Amino acid sequence: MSDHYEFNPSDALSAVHGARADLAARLDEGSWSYDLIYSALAGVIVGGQALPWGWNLAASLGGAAALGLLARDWSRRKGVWVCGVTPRRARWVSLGLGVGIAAVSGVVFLMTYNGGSRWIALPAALAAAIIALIGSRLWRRVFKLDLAEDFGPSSISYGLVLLLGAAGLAGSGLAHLMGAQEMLVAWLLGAGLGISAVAGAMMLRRALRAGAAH
Amino acid sequence: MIAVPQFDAAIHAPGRLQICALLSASDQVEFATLREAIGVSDSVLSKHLKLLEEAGYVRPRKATSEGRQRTWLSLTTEGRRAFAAHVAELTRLAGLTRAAE
Repeated sequence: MSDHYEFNPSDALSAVHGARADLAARLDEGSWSYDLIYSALAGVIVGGQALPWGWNLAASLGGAAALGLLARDWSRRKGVWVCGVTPRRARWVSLGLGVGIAAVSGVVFLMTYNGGSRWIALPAALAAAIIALIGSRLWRRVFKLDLAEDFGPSSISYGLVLLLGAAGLAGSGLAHLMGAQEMLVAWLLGAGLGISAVAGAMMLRRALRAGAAH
Repeated sequence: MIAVPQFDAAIHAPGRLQICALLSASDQVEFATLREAIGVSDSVLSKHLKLLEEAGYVRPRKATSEGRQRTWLSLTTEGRRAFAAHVAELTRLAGLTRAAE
């Protein structure tokens, strides 16, 4: 390993762009199958909310677990993990996708609040799947732009993403357990519990690291 | 007056620059993927990573998968800042070089 070489800033920049272009190509390979499965699972989770209690819980938990397995398998096969909200510009596509899915879920909740309008399951699942597919394909295009042009540090912390994800999962889980009659209260309670648990774990980890460093 | 180039010695070498380019574009990259992308041997990559780790720019994480231990690497916040500053300096210098030609 030698650090001595003829230095040319343009060549160095080309090497940076080349490495990132190779990464983009690596992540593009097989991305359609990933996005189609991802969209189908989003459809199952959202459409499942229109089903009777028990089935909706199964759709949420099963769908979330399958999404987790899908992401884990993808990152293992690619040897790369990119969180949806890490790239500076692509993160806005992720957030927009989240808002779109939440809006369809809200419509499903309102229409099935007292057990009626179960037929909404299919169109809601289809709408969620289409939003997820468009969103994930758009995310990849914007991510490529980020790869080519953005070299600055990301301003969203990974811990915050974990925190929000855990809070959302805990909240919706509790909401289901309470029969969704007190959805807002259940979600707030669950979000509080989720945030406390994750923040506590992060503080403990930081304290252990600081202890190990001294 | 032209400012003297301020390069980060830990990032400056071509191999380490490419490593940082890949790590800064993702959350984590596996050791074998990095080795394949940079086109170096295990030992050379390990030396590069050790240097970046000592500078506080890279954080390794060991994970067992399918009975094998794999190492995942990520850039620390300081590493991301240092890489961004390094690329900004390269861009400035490349611009000056082009203007001089």
